[in-house]
Amino acid sequence: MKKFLALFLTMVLTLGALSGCSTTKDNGTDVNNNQDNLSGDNQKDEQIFTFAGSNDIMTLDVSLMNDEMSAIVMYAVNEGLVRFNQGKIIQGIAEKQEISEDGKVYTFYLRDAKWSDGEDVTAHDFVYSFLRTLDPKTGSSQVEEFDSILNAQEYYSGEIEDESKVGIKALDDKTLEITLVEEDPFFLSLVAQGINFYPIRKDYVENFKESYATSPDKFIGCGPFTLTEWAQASSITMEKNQSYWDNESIKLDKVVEYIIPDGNTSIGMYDLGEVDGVYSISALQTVNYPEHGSNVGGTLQHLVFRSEEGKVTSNSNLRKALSFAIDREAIVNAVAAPGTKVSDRMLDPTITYNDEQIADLYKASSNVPSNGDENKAKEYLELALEELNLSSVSELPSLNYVCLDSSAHKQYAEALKARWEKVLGIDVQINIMPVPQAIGSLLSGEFDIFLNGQSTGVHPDTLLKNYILDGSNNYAGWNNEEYTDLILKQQKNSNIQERFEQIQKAEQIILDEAPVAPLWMPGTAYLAQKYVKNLHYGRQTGSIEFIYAYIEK
Amino acid sequence: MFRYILKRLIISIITIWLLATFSFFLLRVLPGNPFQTEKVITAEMEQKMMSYYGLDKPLFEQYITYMKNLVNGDMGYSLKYTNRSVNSIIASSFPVSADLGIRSLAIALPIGLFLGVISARKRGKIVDYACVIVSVIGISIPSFIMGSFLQYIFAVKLRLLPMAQWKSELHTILPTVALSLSLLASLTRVMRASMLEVTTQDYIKTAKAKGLSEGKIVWSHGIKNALVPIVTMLGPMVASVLMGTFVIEEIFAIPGLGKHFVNSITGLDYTMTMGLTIFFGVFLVTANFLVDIAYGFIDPRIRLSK
Repeated sequence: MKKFLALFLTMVLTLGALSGCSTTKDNGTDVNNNQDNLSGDNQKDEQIFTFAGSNDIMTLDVSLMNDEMSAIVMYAVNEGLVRFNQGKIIQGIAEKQEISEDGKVYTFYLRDAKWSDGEDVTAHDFVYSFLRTLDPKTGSSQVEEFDSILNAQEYYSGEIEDESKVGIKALDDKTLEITLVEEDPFFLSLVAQGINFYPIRKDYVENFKESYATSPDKFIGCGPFTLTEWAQASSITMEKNQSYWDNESIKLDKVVEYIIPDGNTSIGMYDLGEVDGVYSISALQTVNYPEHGSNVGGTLQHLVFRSEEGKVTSNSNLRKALSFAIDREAIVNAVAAPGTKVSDRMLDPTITYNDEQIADLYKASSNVPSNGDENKAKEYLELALEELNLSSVSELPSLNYVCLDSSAHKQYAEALKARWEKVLGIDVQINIMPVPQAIGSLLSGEFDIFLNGQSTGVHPDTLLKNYILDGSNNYAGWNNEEYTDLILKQQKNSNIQERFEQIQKAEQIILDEAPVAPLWMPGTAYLAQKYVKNLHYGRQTGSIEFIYAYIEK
Repeated sequence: MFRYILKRLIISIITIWLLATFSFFLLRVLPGNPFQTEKVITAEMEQKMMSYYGLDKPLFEQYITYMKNLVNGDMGYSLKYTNRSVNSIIASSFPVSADLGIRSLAIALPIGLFLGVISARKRGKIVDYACVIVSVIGISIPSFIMGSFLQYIFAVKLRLLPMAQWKSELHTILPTVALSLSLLASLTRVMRASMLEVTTQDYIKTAKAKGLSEGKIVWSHGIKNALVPIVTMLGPMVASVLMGTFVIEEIFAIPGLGKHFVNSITGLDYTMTMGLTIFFGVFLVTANFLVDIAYGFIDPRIRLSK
């Protein structure tokens, strides 16, 4: 008996190595909040919106932020000069702005706005923030967002050390002047959409140093909401900011994001009324929820064919055969999230200039029908085999398709492979790799086919400028002088119409040569109960725009 | 006893050092770059980030720096969770995983042992078959199915318990049950087998011949001897359960350590992976050490003090 007791004690000891383990039950606010949701409207006056997101935020440090979930929270708890809302640019902290005649100098006049602790938001806060992001000592991966600003590149790459040479200046407390390298008609969109253009309070960074923005008390914003709780990996709570300049337009008192990694769990919580919305749901789940909303834009998924010499995919007819064989519509309907739109070009149709869609005015197309064209594909294959001196498809080496290890990418890869084998009889080898390795292969050119999803940004040439001669992002290794000329010329062209025409020409060249094959623009589907009004999904990367939402039961 | 402990301590330190060294270099052999996500950054930018984090220095130099910091208990900053140290991430998520683990073990251990004994005692009877069925089910049903099933029954259909999250005592019930079922099943199996083996031993016959009562035999001769294999498996089991389980934590949205084990390696978060490996290593070595000491108390034949 004594020995048994001793054994038991040892077990306790083993477990006891972990003293101080306790549930996070001291989380009083959360529990209450949950009861509110479960029991519906026992607090009729309080406007609370809860939603489930799949990932935790990585940081709230404006200079370092580069992920979607952080961007969503930052959009609510901070405010830049201007912001996107419902696809349009609206004024934020800047009351108005002036653009100089040569289009190079932007002057922002700030309104009388306050930080959530009541201090004035000044132009210096913006200058500090932007320069801090660019400072090589900060180690931000986002510095390229600022490339169009005078001397920004030189400053972050260490060529100049004097930060006063960078084109970001505070003329006085309420006037901010930004000078560009050259005219950029899309600069305002860039500032509105960019997730690193928010102001930062210098005293907070200096007080907290490395731990700045790692918890609510070490972060301050000037947005419509304040961050009141951040329980890492479980929930984020934001409450209405009473000192926000436009707080009369804000109807929600509280927004809670629960971090629920599993899709089925978040749907279950939605069914039970534990959350009012789900940030992103899969294509499969949308079938059961006809009330889901969807949104498209921001990213273009396209195939990149490694086109450098020595690869069979350097043959443009083979690349076209592969592109024409794809039934994009069928794949989108079967696998992709609702809202996904098939695309036959590299230009994002949602990019606008003077409220007009550039894609509508300057047309270009790969001429691939959305459901593919088997006959054309076979014709191109014949041509390709002839040029490659092969007598039949079976002599073609198997193609190496490098695939990101994510469920959507794997499904796309399987669907594409099946299609290519059926229509063309081409053997495709799918190599699934974790993201860092897959991107490594993309950069080093160790692939034949790669499905790349890239943000289309705010400039019409965002994707196109990758594929210039010896460009460092020329993943296809494709070299075309005429194309490169056009792209480089338009970047310096101050005549905006000519600029768009040059882009149009270049786009047609790349579509005809097909080192890349545009597939579709992936959509996002989300769920929200009918009583949540005025909830939008913006073009801005990952922005669920709940700031003007309200609950009406 | 003291010398034995000292010897074990030295061996443990060497083990941890080897573990850290091997994993440090093996990690770097993996292809890819930690700063690449689905949003591809340029090669120049990649280079800049590498040099900012000191990852462009000679590997051996990095190793020395890492080891120096490690000795001081500093495991560095995560490459993914900006500005958050590995220490702080472990400190915030380990207690949750450990809490869940302890709760599960507290259920699984007594029930598992009890079922194992019962089923060995009633070998070939209905009770035995029932126990065997329970343990086969527990072992063969993956925890993500068990978790979803429990959620469906108790949260969606009966609405008795919350679906997920880790907030109040009520929230802990479903994940604890889901996790304990598989533990319980394997404990039952081992205990049953071990109990059956013990029953055929000579000393049991002797005890019977002496005229001891059945209960007394089972209690003080059977169970105690049958516990040895259980104690052996308990070390690694406790260590791995307390470290968190990816699937259960994901399904029930529990902010534990489990997901970091998976995500840090696929995301090539070097410092995080190293930190977790070492933390787990230390834990496992300690658990095994305690188990070795525990042997002495249960079974005089393997007493170590000499």
